[in-house]
Amino acid sequence: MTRRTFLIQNTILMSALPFAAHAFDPKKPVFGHNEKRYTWDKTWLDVNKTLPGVKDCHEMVLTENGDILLLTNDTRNNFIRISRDGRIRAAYGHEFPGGHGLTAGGVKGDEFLMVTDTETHRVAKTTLDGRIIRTWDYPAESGKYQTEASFIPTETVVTPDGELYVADGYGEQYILHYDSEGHLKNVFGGRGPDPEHLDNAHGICIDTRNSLPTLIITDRNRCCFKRFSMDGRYLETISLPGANVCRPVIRGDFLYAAVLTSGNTGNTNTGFVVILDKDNKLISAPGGSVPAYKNGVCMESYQTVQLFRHPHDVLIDEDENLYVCQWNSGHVLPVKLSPYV
Amino acid sequence: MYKIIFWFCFMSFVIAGFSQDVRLSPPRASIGMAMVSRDKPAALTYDFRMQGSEIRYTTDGSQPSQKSKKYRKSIRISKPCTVKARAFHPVFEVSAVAESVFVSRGHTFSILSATQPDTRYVAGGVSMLSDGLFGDTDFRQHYLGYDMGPVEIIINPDPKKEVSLVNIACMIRQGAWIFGPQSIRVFDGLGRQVGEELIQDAAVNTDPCHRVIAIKIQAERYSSLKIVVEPLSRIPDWHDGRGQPAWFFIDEIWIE
Repeated sequence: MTRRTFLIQNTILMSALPFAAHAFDPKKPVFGHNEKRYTWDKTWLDVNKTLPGVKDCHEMVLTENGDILLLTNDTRNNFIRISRDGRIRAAYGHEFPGGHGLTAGGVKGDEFLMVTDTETHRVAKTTLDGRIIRTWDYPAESGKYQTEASFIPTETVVTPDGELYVADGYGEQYILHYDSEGHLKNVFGGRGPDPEHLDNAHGICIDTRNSLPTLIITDRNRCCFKRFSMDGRYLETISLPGANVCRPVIRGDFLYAAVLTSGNTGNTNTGFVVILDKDNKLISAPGGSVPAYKNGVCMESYQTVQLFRHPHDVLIDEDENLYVCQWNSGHVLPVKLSPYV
Repeated sequence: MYKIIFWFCFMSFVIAGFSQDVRLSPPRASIGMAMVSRDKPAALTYDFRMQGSEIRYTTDGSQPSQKSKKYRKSIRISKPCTVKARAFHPVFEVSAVAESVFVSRGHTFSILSATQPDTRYVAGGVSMLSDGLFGDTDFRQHYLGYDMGPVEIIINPDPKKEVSLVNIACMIRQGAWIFGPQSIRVFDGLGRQVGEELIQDAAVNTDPCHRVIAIKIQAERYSSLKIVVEPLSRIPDWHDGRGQPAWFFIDEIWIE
């Protein structure tokens, strides 16, 4: 071969390269399906430079200025505030050895956090900087609890009117509904085999995608969400076989949830994320199998790539970036996925 | 020369670009462990819903590579073997191996008695140990669970057939404090020891799996055999449960 032929061949190959690279997209593996596909933003946080203590990362909320506030059960700093460009702004709070559920509530200028603690068996209302304002102990007045130890709350949700729902996901499986003064007004759910019963009621949210707000509650051991009316009437089950879903998170028309493990909680080091459309149909599973339905029934989902280990919560920012925090995952901070364009 | 240099540079670019540190999960096998015979074969299928991926497998115990046979449809297994499969994808790292073990059906026998398992882990009762079925990854189902030894199981083989091998299947899931046993001894009806297997690596850090332990015994016709299993008496120091007794979870016994 002459130098000239080599150069011509080389030019052809090199000009073909960008096309080939785009077709394979070698540098950016894509996670998820349909309109919810993501790339992994590895540069977001240098996990090796983790300054704050991180035990299990349980839940996250967005703060008023768009930071990510993370709750961990590490009492060196229960709260870790991370900017969206990946800088750790602050780490504080020592009150929650079993810090698990983190929910933001209130109106502008009067915001607060609701924290559930699975070890001290209580729910706390705190300021944004983690100072406890009020606590709720086990609901003896419900008549459903004999001891404090059987109340192991995992998650809360607050209505715009200030009413509170507490999911006792590791305890007796009741949903406790408190009025805006903090007095117990209703109890529903609980253990049992019927549709209105729950088995690991791990999370709860208010679904505002339809004209009438309803509650969506996790039934993690049965791999589903259950919809209830705001006054605790069971309405429907949203089955996601294979997906041990944590709390539901609504953003726009979509419902997102971290999936702790594939199939059953014994499948360690698995997990993925599920994204459901407005009709609660599974459309994407970042880290998991292609969503599939047979005769209208969702087929079993499972992990296909080991991007996550035990995802425990998701958070979506205004640019549709998806943050995933993980339980028992080697003390790591959240993973950030960016929309694939 | 230029050509060689060019190709070297080109391939380096391609390899650098394609190498990723996100690994595929193993493909999902329909069977983890099963008994087979010529009359009663098993149909092994794989499920791995991921665009661009493929499954390759071997039946001779070797590690599947990109040159191994590609999985297309259900695989018929009629002889004892181990099928190993891995998922491949042009972008992600190759998966770990999904292993399916097929064993011979062996002789029939009845179970006379067995040490009472922990009340939480009795599954379908002692007769389950000879039903020809294996448990999966859930230790709450199809396993008898013991947290202390010795575990004694007395079986009555068919006295007309010679027995030379006693097999037991157990779960290893060390994260849940479930280890393999440290020893198994087999005695005949007169109390004479006819076989012994000491498991040297019972305390070694092992990924969760289903383990078959085969104990060779003197080839004879037996009307009764007593299998004595000693669970690991002390969880090793590398484990959170250090010093405590380990759990032992058994799901099947068969003789050949």
